[in-house]
Amino acid sequence: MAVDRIQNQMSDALEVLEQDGTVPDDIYSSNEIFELEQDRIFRRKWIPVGHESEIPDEGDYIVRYILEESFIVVRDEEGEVQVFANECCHQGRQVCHGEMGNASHFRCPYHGWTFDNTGELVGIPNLEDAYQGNIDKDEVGGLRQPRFDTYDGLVFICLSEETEPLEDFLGDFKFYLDYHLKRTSEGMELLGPHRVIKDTNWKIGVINNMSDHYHSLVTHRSFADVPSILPTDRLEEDEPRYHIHAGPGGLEMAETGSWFDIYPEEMHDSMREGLPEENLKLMEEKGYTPINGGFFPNFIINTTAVATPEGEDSAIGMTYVMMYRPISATQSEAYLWCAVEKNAPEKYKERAHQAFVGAFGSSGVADQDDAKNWMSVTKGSKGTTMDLRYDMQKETKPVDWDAPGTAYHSWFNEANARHFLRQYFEAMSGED
Amino acid sequence: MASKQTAYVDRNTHWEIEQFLYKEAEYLDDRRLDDWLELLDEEIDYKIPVRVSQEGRTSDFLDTYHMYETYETLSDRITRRAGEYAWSERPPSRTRHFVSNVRVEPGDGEDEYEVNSNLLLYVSKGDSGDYDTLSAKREDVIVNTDDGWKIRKRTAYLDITTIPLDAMNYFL
Ligand code: FES
Ligand SMILES: [Fe+2]
Repeated sequence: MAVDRIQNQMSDALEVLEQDGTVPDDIYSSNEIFELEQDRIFRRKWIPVGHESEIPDEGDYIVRYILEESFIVVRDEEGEVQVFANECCHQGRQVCHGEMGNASHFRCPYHGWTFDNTGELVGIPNLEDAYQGNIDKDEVGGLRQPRFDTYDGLVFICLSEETEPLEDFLGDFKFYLDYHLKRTSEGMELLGPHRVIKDTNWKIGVINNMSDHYHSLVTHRSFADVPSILPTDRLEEDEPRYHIHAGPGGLEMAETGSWFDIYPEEMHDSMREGLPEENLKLMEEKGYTPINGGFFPNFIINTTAVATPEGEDSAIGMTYVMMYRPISATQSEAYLWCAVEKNAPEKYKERAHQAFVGAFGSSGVADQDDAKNWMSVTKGSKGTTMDLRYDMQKETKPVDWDAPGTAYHSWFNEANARHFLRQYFEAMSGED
Repeated sequence: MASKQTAYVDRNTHWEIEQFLYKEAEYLDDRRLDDWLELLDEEIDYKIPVRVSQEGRTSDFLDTYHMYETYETLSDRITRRAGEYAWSERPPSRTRHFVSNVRVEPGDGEDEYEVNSNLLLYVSKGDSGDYDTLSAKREDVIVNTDDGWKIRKRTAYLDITTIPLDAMNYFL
């Protein structure tokens, strides 16, 4: 059976990864492998779909996808986040058609069944004539509710009942996610998303963001030509970094002192209030700043200093969030957001947003050169199979580390890429 | 006073502005980006808002932009592209800007005009047989200066929500 064959291949690939640090390139383009990914990964793992701040008011909703399946993420009249399959429980028509909106009820356009925004079935037209009263609304139930949960405002869906709870899934990565999304007493808000369909396999960008400082020197060399949209990434400096993996994720930390100097003074108190104590300690006592990272399977986050049109010395801190939704083995949809502190001064928000657009949004100069690599790797992986190397610093030992996870201290390192790929092969082969 | 709908400008002005927009398209498609920059007023406010498919709200645009540019950032994007390391445009895309339905109305200032046009952008890349298109409505403020016609403000309202290109890497 094809599935068994691929699972065996994945199990062999796991062994080769551990031994040589290489992986077969068809994981970036094979249709058979993509088939299996859908079941083993996207229908089993916790998949992030959005952020609570996208639906600030009662009745606000967004429609998001896992693979092709669409879900309504809505804030009900009590202010609680709810998630429903976008499928009428009568004969399955989608009840929600916009990408977002505000509604107290969803009315199915097919036969008019109506649901409130807790998903409850509240109306069936012509009840008497149609069912002679022989239907019990409660028994029929309402819109189907998948497993969902939130962390740091991120909304996740899990299509399997067997998967561990979200908190356990995120595990030690929560510590690092908090750096990016638990930064004020009032939380973060996400601007966007920009949605872009790219001819890339969904994994490459995530692996890149979790682990690859090596590419910055070449891929992002053009930043040097553009002072006003230049992320002040210290491109030429031999700057040791920590490459850390924890839970399903991995990220890099720089030793460049705390973030606070790249945020306006008036935000500092609230940032200190928001960040858990342990996070602050690591940052303030050791001077470690988290930068780019992500977690398995499809999430990217980065907080970095970016210059703005106000000039080269005007670097400010900004955070962007990205999610990949696979469409096929070789095509994905990227959702891109700018994340800002909810209570930040308007002026700062404006500048952070402009920095995001210039560097990391749909037209961002960083994003487009990255995307070009990922699309080209995807294209190159079609046809004859060769082994891709993720063996950099494979024999290097982790260093002592006072925070969750395993840390390596080096300028370049692919330990986090291997961490992603290990989880990938384990999930694919059924060894997780 | 004439109502907005009938506030025509004279034929000659209309013709000049139309020719100006065609010239602009030519500069973009011939990749004469420095010449293109010359057509912009230094105060330019250049935006491409993100469209969204909405129900139950009044606007179908988000408070974010695919491009949110000043003269300086536009000029930097052009400088970057002219450098050696703007990999996403190596080799450069081939584009064709089709400008139509040009409507010109008097603007606020004396030599200022509100110009609406439709835009169809065709993009082809590398050796692939595929191409992409984007369609938009452009709302411009165009001024007649001592240095000739200049664009002072441009907002390009895309008709699509999800960008079908790998990056929104084109001036509209
Ligand atoms: S399918 Fe929704 S009411 Fe019939
Ligand atoms: Fe990059």
